[in-house]
Amino acid sequence: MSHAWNAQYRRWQGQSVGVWQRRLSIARYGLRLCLSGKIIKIFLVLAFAQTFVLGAVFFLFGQLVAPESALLTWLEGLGGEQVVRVISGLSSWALLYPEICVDGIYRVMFYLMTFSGPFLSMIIVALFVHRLIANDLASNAIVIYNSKALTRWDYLTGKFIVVSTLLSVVWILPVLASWLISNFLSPDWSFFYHSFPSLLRGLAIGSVAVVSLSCLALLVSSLARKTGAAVAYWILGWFSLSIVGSVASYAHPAFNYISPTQAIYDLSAGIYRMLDLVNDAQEMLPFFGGFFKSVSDGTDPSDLPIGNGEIVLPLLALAAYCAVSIAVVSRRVRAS
Amino acid sequence: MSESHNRRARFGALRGLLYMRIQELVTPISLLRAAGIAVACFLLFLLVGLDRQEAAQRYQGLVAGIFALKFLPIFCLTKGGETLRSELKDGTIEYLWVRPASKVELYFGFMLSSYLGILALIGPALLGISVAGLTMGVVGLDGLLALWVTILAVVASFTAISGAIGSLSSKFVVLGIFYYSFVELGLGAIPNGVQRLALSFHTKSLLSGMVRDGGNLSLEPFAWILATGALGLVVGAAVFSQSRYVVGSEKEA
Amino acid sequence: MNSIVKAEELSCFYGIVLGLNNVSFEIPAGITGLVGPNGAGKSTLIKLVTGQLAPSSGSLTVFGQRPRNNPRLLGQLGYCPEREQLPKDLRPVAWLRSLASVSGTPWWETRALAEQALERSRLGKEHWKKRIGTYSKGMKQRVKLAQAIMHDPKLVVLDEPMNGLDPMGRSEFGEILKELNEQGTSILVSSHILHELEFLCSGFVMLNWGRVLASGSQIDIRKTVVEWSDEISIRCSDPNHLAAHLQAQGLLRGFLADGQDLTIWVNEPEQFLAAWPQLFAGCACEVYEMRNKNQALSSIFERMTR
Repeated sequence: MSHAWNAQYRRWQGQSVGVWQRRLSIARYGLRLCLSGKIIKIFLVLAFAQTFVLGAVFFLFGQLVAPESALLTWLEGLGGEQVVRVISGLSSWALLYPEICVDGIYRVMFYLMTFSGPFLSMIIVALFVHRLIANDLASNAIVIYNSKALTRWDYLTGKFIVVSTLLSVVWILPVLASWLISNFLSPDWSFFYHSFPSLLRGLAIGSVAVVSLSCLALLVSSLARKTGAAVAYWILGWFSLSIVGSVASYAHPAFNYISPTQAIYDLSAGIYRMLDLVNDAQEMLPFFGGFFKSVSDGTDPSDLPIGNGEIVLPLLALAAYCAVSIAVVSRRVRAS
Repeated sequence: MSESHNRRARFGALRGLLYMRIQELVTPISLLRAAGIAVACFLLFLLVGLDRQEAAQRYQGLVAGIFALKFLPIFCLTKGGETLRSELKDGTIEYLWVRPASKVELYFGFMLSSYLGILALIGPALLGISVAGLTMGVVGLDGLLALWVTILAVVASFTAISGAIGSLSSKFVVLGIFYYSFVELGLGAIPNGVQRLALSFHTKSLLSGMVRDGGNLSLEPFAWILATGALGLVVGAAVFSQSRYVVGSEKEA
Repeated sequence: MNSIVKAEELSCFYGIVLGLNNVSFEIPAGITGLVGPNGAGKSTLIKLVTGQLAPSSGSLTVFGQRPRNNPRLLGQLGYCPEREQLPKDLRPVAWLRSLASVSGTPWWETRALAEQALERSRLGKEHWKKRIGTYSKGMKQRVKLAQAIMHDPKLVVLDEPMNGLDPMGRSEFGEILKELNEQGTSILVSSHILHELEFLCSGFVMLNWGRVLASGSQIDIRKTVVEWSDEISIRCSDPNHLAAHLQAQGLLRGFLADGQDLTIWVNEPEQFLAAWPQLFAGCACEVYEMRNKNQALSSIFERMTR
């Protein structure tokens, strides 16, 4: 006899969600936990504020080279015909050499942004690193995760998404958002084309930094026996490795990359290739040639306090850090 | 209890907490760690001697510039409040609160214990650095005396400041970094009387010429360093004795 | 009554969260159980007794003194918290010595005190050289008890001391507490497992939702039973013989014998309990203990909170 309604407990017989949904649910919960403090929100807003600084600079640059822009009219009112003439000269250079002027301003600004990235990353990660894996290890929640239909790799993927999402606000979001905003507000659609290489450079260094720092954050979080220790390990590790790197570099310059910060700085210099930009500018723009002569003693650009940096060694160092992190973290969270 | 017993109890809190910390620091793992730090620092700083001509200058730059002015403040500011906060978080403070000792005595005990804990890590590092300096012949005994005395005073002061921050908030590590950024890097760079509030300013003056002419041990910078530390200690003790904490979690009120 | 703890209109709030709400009671010397479900206010009361919290209103005195910021009184109290965290890198003697020193004991006397306390709490000497981090739950509870009794306090306050202990461990822990009490130490012990305390405590304070439901000796509390259950438990030398004897008199609806335990279901429980000596007469069986189901503390407590 079939019953119209059965009050007995019934097992869930619906379709189970896919593994990515489960990974994302770990990430969603982790993000909510990490964003529970006020200070971290303030720092994330500060990191995102870089978007507006960059966007404002790009917008102003665009307005300077645009004929009949409101900014030029305002400057004309302020400084008269002479100012307009100087700016017109600049804009004609920009129109003559957009690959240097447009791409150059984006490159310089994105490159400068990479200097704030490590400090902001250090502070922001310090504010949530203890909530990643250390919390689960200290409270034995890892056992519960391991008892679910998830492998440790799913768990780690979820945690990786948490860190990388937050670090993207420091490294990737300002680059992408400022590029989009400034290009939508630019006077000429050719800005899209000429600034695109800079965007790619920005995304490349951003992605490498996010991936490597996320792996390091997971490593530190998994090593701490107490949740509070994770924060201290992260900050002290950051500074200790910088010191060790700078001392060890006396033996060989490659040891400088013991410090992830230094590796990121050098990689950034290698990707943005500022010295090449200066050389090109010096060759094509006589105004800049004169300016650089006043900065350095000779005409040799290598006298300038900038360089093209390295790509391979810092990248290898960061890759090594990632490999070590993955190996250690996966051992720490496995079901024993 | 008699008055004399009460007086003994006061010193007893300090002695008890100190004894507890010493016992924790003489475990084989802790001793091995200290030895490892000393050897690592020794070997690392020997690298400075690879360039004989610039060895002394590099040694000065690394020890006085980076170790004493950057690493040490950050290390102390992130570790100084740890003893107090981990006692509160773990709940082991409950065993101490119900003893016949005042909160101020307990706080001083925690700070002394923290100081010892930090020295257990900084001491071996400094030993390795000092021996490396002597081995390379870049620093004399007078220079090392200035270095050790300065570091001991600076560690004490930063520990007290970190303790005061720790008595106010469980986020003492991050707040310590803010303190370093604002006071040591910010105020310390302002070229007027305000920079005296930064311990780094005094450390820099005490260690200037450490390699060349054995440091610059003068009373005034020491007085500033110790007075700042004493202020931190008093503020921390006052906050700790007046606050109500919920054991095992954040401060309640 | 010669009370050691006295509360008058005592309230304690954590912000808007209720801890204790306007309670008055007295606790005499001896072993007193503080019982109630989770969140009843047991730990709050213990923190008030040990001076860790100040009352929001009303008063609480221990040995006639207010415990908050009173080192003189705290020297006469021992406290064993519920939390299991102990310094895991230390050996028990070292930890106890440092705590004795914090209590104001001269340093040269601390070792003897620590060792004596460990002996009293029955932690085997072979374990003294090990670090506390390697201890089992039961051993940790003994170390916690040792630190509480080390300075020979007049009152020892224990917050859920039997949590996580196996039945053997609980029984042994109870024996230690009884021994302490025989040596003149009063004990205030909290638990939400009532049958644990039933055989240990002479008096109880029953709490629920921050209120005192009942307080006093076991006998006083049992007197509050107005409704008798038809289920009676008897411990005797020959349960089957006794069951047959009662069955022959037509008193039973059913029975269950297991070892020395006999559970019977009677027709008229009140009359049976009033006349049991006469009813048992003529049966060659030794009766050790008899109890009505409703007399059990858990049952009394259940009815009070209903």
